[in-house]
Amino acid sequence: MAKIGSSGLVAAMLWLLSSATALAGVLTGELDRTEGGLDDQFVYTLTIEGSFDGEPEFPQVQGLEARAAGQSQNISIVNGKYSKEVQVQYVLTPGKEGTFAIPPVKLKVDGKDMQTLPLEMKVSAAGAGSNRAGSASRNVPSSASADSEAGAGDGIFLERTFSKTQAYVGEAIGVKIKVFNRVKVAGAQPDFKYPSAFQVKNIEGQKSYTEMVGGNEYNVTELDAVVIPNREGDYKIDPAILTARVAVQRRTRSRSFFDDMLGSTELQEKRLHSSVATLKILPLPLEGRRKDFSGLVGNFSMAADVTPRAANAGDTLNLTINIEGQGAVSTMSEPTLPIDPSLAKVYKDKPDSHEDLDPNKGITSQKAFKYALVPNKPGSFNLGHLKVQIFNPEHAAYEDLDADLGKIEVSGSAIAVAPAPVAQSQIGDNLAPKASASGAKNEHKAVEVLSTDLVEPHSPKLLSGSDRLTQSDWMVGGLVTLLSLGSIGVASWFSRMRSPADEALRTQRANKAFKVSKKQLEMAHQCLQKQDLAAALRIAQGCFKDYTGAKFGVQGAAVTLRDIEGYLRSKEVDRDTLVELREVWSALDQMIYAPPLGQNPSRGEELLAKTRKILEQMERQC
Amino acid sequence: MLRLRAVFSLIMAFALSPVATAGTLEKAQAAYESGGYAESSKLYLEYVEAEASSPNGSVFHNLGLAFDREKELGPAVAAYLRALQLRPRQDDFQYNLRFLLGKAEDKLDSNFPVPTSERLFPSHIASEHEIFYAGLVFLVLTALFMSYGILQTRLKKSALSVSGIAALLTIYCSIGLYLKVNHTHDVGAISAPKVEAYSGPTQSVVIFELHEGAPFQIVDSSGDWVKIELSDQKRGWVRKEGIVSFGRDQIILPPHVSSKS
Repeated sequence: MAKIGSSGLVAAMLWLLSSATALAGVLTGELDRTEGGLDDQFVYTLTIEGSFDGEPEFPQVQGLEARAAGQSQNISIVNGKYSKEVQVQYVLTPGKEGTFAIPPVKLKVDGKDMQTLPLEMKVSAAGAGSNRAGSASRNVPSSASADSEAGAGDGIFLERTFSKTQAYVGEAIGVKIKVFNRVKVAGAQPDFKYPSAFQVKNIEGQKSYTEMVGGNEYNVTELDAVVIPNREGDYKIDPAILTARVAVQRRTRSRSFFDDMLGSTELQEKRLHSSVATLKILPLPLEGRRKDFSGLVGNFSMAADVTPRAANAGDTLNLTINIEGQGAVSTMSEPTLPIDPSLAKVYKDKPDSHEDLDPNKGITSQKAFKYALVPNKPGSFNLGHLKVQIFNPEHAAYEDLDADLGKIEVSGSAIAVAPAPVAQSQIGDNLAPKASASGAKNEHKAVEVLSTDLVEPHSPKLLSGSDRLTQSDWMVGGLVTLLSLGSIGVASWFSRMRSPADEALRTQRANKAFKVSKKQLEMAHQCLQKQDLAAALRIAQGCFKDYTGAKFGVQGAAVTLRDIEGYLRSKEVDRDTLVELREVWSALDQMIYAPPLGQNPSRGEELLAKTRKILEQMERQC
Repeated sequence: MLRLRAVFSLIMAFALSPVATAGTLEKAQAAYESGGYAESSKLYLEYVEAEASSPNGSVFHNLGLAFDREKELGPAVAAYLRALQLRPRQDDFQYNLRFLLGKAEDKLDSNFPVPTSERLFPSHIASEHEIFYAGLVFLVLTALFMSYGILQTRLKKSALSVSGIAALLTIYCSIGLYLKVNHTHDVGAISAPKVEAYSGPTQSVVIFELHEGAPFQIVDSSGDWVKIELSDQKRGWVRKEGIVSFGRDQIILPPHVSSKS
């Protein structure tokens, strides 16, 4: 028991001894590097092991700006040994070249006044930083300019590329800023400045990919933009600066359980920058520039369309002009349409434009101008060619974009150019219209009280009934129509019924016409046998008259040769029969009224035979 | 028995409905006379919507007056345009419409463009009843003179000539009536303080602006848009929400007016 007691006592003594050792504080100060450029930042790390009172203060050093960049704490118990370590970091930014002496930092640690060792750092000129990460081995496109500089070396650097170093005023220049890193970056603050003569259009979003540089694989983050110069001149573009917070290995004296568990890295601020670049901006040449120069600088094409091509006067046609290509369209002026204002009114709409930013090509853009055309008069009109002057930097010359607006066909009647005003006398003594349809105000003054001049309402008696045709109207109309048509039908029927006997006789007479004619011809033969040629021929001629009169319900005696021909034509009797009729009729006339000397019975017989033949033909065809 | 009851119900409903609507008119008139113009216009609107198939020009006249008293210029103009469409030659309608158009900001009248072919016919200068009964009169004359010509030999040609002329006039009236019934555009007026007319039934190009009370005729429609034509032959598309129209087949009311009815 005594042995055990003495062993425990020794152990307790050893523990107390070790605890006393742990209580002895340590204060150290370190620089991340001792040499650097004027643009570089230095990190001073103050490490305190043990308990301390108050806040550590970084001593004042002329020409050196110190800024506290954070504090970290590490507590560890290893084999019952307790230790506490606090690290305070300061970012030192040199304001001038030279060698800076950092005096000791004093602090009371574990009840004892302690101080760090004095340090020295050497600062050289800007851009001559000590560490460059692989930029020398990078291939930069010959057509572009690139400048890169690592602000903090050790796995992170910045590179800036311009798509061209010489451009015209208004020409878009792509800018590609690449951040190469092999270390973990917790955040970054860009500071990219351009002269005021440049319009800057940042490309939203960033590209991320990997790239091999100097045999090492880097993560690359692209921050791109497009700049458009507004004025000519040689411009010095300030370095692109990026302040990044990167994870670096923590500087601890010993690795503990908590280091393994919580990680052994810490965040440090790195200031990356590219070098200065120079851009040469040329003015647009005066030679060849017209007054109607559109302001477009780039390579563009133009198309125009009118829909529909045919319309009535007063209807609306839509004219769309599309301009697209490489270059910015935001500065483009309104094109001058070649349309004769006497042909159509033109109403313009707000143009639509769209720009795609590309760090390699600059700007790919598209602009659409829309117009409503209202033709005033009918006809076929050629709208003409639209010309837009642009400046093409590739050819270093002005060019014309040309679009044929084509023809339109306008129908209908011409429309009035201005709205017809309401006649003053029609309105009333104290009333007047105030403005035109286009919204233009005129001088007439609004009158507040007008209602008393209106004709009063109609009485309820007049409010019933419809002003449109109702079922009863249509019934009345139908009835009247039936009665009217019926009355005509009744009249016709009555007319027919009133003379049925006459009609029957007419039919009977017509049916017997040929029979009667044959009897008459027999009588004519008898006369001929009695040597009475004239009587025979008169009877023969009378046969034609009586036959026609019987057929068409007229008195035969009143019928002439013309009447007979007319009747027969109406019955579509053939032409030969009519010719024969005319010949026989003439021969009969001649024999009756101018008989040749001496009787010629054979001629009479011949005429009677012809008469009979013609009558037979007529009977067949009628 | 059930069938008899159903028939009786139908007859009663038919018989009672005019009484109910007539009662509405009486109330509307009484409200107007007592100064309740909002109530009056509401009742007239109810009547107009209920009797859409049997419109009456006098009702629109009274409705227009009630709207005017309410300082609703657009609906008042639209009511008078409809009244005049029903009775184109009614003097007091014409007078009141001119009066109201004088209050509108835009210098426009109600003489809307009519195609040349339709100008020859009486569809725009006479009511349906006038054209219809004139046509019937000419039809009766046609029948009378034709019958006379058939029955009598004396003055037969003259009677048939007159009959032919009367028949042509009957046909003329029939075409006029056809145009009146089938080819008459709905009319209306702007009800919003300012409305923009576009080149198409989308918010494309604004081609002119109209103000409250501006009259127009509707020549086309598409969804919530109507194509309107002004008396000066301007054409454009406007949203229905900014207009009022008492058309043959549809009534377009602005939200603040339609909420009344």
